[in-house]
Amino acid sequence: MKAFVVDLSICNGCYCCQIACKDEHVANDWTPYARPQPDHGQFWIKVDERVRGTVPKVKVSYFPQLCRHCSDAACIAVCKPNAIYRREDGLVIIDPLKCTGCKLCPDACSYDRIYFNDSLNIAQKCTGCAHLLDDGWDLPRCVDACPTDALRFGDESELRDLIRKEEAIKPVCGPGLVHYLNLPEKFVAGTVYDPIEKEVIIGAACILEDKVSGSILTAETDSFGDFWFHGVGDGPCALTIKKNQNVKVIEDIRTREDINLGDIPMPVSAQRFRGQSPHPPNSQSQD
Amino acid sequence: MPKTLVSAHIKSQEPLKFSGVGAIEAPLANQFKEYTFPREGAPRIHMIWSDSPCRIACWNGGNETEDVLRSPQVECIVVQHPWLENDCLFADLILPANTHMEVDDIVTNIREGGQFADVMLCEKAVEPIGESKSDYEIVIEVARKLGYEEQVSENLSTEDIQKKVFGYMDLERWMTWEDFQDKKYYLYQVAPDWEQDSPGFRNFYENPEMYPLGTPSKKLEFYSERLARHFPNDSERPPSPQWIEKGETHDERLSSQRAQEYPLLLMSNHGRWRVHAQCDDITWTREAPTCKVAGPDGYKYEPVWIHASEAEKRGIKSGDIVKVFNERGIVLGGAYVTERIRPDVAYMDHGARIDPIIPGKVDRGGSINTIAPLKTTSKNCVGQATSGYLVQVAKVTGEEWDRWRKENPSAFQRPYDPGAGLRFEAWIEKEESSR
Repeated sequence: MKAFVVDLSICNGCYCCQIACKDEHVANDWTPYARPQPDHGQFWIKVDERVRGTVPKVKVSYFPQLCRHCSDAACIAVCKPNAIYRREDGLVIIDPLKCTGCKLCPDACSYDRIYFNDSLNIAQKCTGCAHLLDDGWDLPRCVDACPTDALRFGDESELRDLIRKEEAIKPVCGPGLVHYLNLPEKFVAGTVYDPIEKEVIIGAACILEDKVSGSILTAETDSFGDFWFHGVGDGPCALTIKKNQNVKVIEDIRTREDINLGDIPMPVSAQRFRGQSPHPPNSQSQD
Repeated sequence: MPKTLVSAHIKSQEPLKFSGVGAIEAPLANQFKEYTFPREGAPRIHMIWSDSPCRIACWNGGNETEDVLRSPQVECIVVQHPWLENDCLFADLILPANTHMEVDDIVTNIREGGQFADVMLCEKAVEPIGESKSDYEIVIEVARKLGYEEQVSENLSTEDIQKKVFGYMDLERWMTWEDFQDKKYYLYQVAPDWEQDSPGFRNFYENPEMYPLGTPSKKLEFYSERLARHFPNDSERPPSPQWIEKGETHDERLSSQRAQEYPLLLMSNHGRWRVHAQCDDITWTREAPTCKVAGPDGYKYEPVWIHASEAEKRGIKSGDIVKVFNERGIVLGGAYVTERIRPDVAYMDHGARIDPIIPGKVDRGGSINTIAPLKTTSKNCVGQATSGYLVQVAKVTGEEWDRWRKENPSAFQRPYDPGAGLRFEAWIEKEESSR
């Protein structure tokens, strides 16, 4: 049994997979595996871009989407002429010679990975480059083109250690050949500053408590006064910021999506003017 | 004549005075040399002959360029180019050049900064397409007509020239011509003891007297004595780098009076999906959402990145056809509303193929440099300043479309392929077949 492993933490959105797929399948007829992919409009592997957060705390996640080659494939079940079949290595193929163009399978796919070719009157999708594998290749073209190893392909037994890591995270799909690792972790971020000194506050302790799950995340503001929490739950959450004797609490932070709390004022310098100890031994100067 | 000053020269009757030729590889001291063009008694520019030009899309003041290319002072324009695009549309004669896939060649790659230093012997992958010829063949053909063929070709064959390059690259030290022909490349080797080399500025740091830098003071210079001596009154390029909010030739900051009408800073980078103006027609890259934005009219527009807050103020949604404009003209684009850009900024890469609705005024292709400043870096510096200038962004109104359609209906009749954009057919008026 074959497997794809997609490590989202090292996909940099270069689109090489998407282009390499077209290079292999556009204008090339690999019948009985697949007929030519149209020049444009179909993406047997497609890079989705997701912009998360708001200026200036923004991250972009890239998500290569391809046929999951599901073990209980809905497309196989719905196909009347039995044109869709699962190979011994697990790859799900639409036989272009048997496909009657009934258009049932594109709607049956939960992942929108099946396209319809109007001029050929057939459904088309990723074949895992089965024509190459059967010709002695180790890898489909998309995996071969991936410069960061975000895409991997091989025998399931050899990739088992990686696939096991998928168990720890929320699965994004049912059982199939494609396993996603390191899904983007939801973040809460912000910048803490002193409105009197007009300087960011470095080294403030930040605690984010999920009021529903009770889980607690901690962070410290960096040299830019920024704090970042990663792997935040669905909340709502409460944020506590501490610097010297000062404490600031922000309640009821809705964390259904990535959150930038923006610039958070927290006067800490007033004490200095009142003659109290301005800097405990380990704190950094803002000057 | 620096490329950045050609428009200024054609527009002005007076000889142009400037410092430095502006060539990217000119020696540093050249920037202090004064020139006058034309020299006394010498003619002005009457004709332009250019290979693979993209003056409009990739240089300063593109709309001014469109104007001067149509000026009666430029009596003849000849271009040679593999693609019918940009400046070619303004040419009197277009000579179809082929790509490096279609020629036997030799390529040297020894500039600083490359990952490898190498020399490659290239064989053509396909026969020349159509009537195309290589740039070299074109030059030889023209030279033949002018009676200079031998002076240009020196009666050398392609292999003779390849051997000549092999010779002056000193490759004989490393391999024979026959080996090179067989292997087809030479990769320069690092010195065997390179690991003993001290890194970067280490020697200078440890002993600046023994290992001086190549600067006039032989030290790190934060203040350029030469700039101070040659250009004492250049407020836009002072001897030490500093922020200049408003200059004598540039007024392009958000604090400007102009920002009341044009309140966004236009940022323009080298496009991710092109190399300058090359490869704007590749169907596979044009499907990426940051390469082109499909408008409701089926046209694929150049993306205009704009922050969600700025888009909201203007009633703009992702995918809307918008105009980016200032006093220098209007460029159409497809809105890409995003958090990936700051408020107060709009972002559009240079190099999109021009598709003039009104030449010199309105461009549908998204060629943003058409509205970039014409003025050079400073009065003494001939660089281009084509990023960070003021614009406004707005939705295109129905009245504007109507007005443009009325003013230049042919601009809307160009055959358009959404996959590739404007292709060869867009610019050819086919003769009616009489058969």
